Amino acid sequence: MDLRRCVTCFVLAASLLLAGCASTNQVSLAEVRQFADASARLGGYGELSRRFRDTYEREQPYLSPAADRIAKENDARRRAVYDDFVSIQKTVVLYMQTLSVLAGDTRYDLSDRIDDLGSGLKANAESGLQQRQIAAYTGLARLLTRVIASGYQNRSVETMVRDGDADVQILLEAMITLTRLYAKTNDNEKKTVLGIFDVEIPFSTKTSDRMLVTLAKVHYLSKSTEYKLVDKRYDLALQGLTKVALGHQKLRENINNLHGDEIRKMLAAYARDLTSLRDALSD
Amino acid sequence: MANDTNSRPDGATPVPTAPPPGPAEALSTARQVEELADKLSECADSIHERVMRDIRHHQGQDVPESEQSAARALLNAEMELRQRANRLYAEAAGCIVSSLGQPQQHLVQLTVDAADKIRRITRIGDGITLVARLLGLAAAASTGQVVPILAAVEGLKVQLDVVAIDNAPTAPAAPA
Repeated sequence: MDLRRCVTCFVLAASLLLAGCASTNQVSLAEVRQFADASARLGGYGELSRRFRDTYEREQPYLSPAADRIAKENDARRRAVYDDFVSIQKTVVLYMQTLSVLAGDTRYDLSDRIDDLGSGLKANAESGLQQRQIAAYTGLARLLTRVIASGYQNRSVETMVRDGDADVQILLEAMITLTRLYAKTNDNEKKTVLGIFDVEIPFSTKTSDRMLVTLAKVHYLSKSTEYKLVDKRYDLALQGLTKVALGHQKLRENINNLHGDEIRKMLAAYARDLTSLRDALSD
Repeated sequence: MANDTNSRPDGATPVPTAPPPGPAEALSTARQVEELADKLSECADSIHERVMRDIRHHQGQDVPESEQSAARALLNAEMELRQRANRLYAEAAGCIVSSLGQPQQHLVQLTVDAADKIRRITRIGDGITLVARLLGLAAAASTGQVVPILAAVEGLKVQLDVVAIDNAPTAPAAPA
């Protein structure tokens, strides 16, 4: 009798303890969720990818015939790779959304998003990207398809981060490299557009040039303001992507201790930084 | 070195040739292409700086017609160079890089020298020829074919020497 009562007590105590653990689990992953949400919502890259694709449209009126011939070829090249660049981002965003679902207590369905990934893969096989980036893309897309299609069964934040980290890092690195190349391309565009006025305005000294010079100065002013604002965005986007990569790396390093104070504080800080970067980008 | 069968048939330059690009190699190649594009962009900056220096020299007075057309020719070259650089950035982004056909360091050094010479050039006419040679190199670089790149490198080297002689502090020597 005594023994049985003891056992019952023990089982009861143990189950209370476990239940306690489970609920702390939920609470402690709030920071993971914040970080994943902030990472998924970070803007910049998509818009700057479009800007890169549309470079020719903006610079065309300013080009000499010789430069225009090269620019047309460049335009075709940029357009050919654009879809791939967007696919990379889509995969990373969906990964972060999945991570957020796993870290929360509602299991909402992301399966309509898987179709998107499938179409990205086809484009990838044909052009662009390096072998390791294609492999990372394929690997991550497969992981996401499996996890989402199974309704997140047998999945936890831990297993997701463990299985996804290597691929996520490669894709984030690719996005960082691309953003850097976008910025450099934009710099040449800016100097092409503004450069003409640097040279031609001082040459236009005739009285009859006065109206033209005035218009040119106004145009120059508005263009240089536009480029100043855009320049900042490349920088913000780069900072954001770097923070996402770092935050995920910390998550991976602390995979066995996601309830620890230190990692929770760290993730909350990354989430805050990412949110303020996003606000700065949406200004 | 172990892969001698893959070396190019340009026996004159006994440099260790790169093996055919593997996955890791492709990354450094994209980086190299990006670096060359950076240097071409810097050359374009130099051209702009040089043109603006001449314009400022006139302190708001009318610039003679001949100087205006030289400035415009240089501006067009600057623009073309920026397009060449952007072509290489697009190649690096899409990782569809073609071989530079020359040791990277050699190409980069040449463009660095050119940027420097352009900035400090005294006769703007020399600038135009030098810039034309530089454009030749930039155009050849995106073909990825060894023969045009080598020819362009030679042309640029010769012109850099000519400019060096003309810019020497002593009496100008006539180029051969």
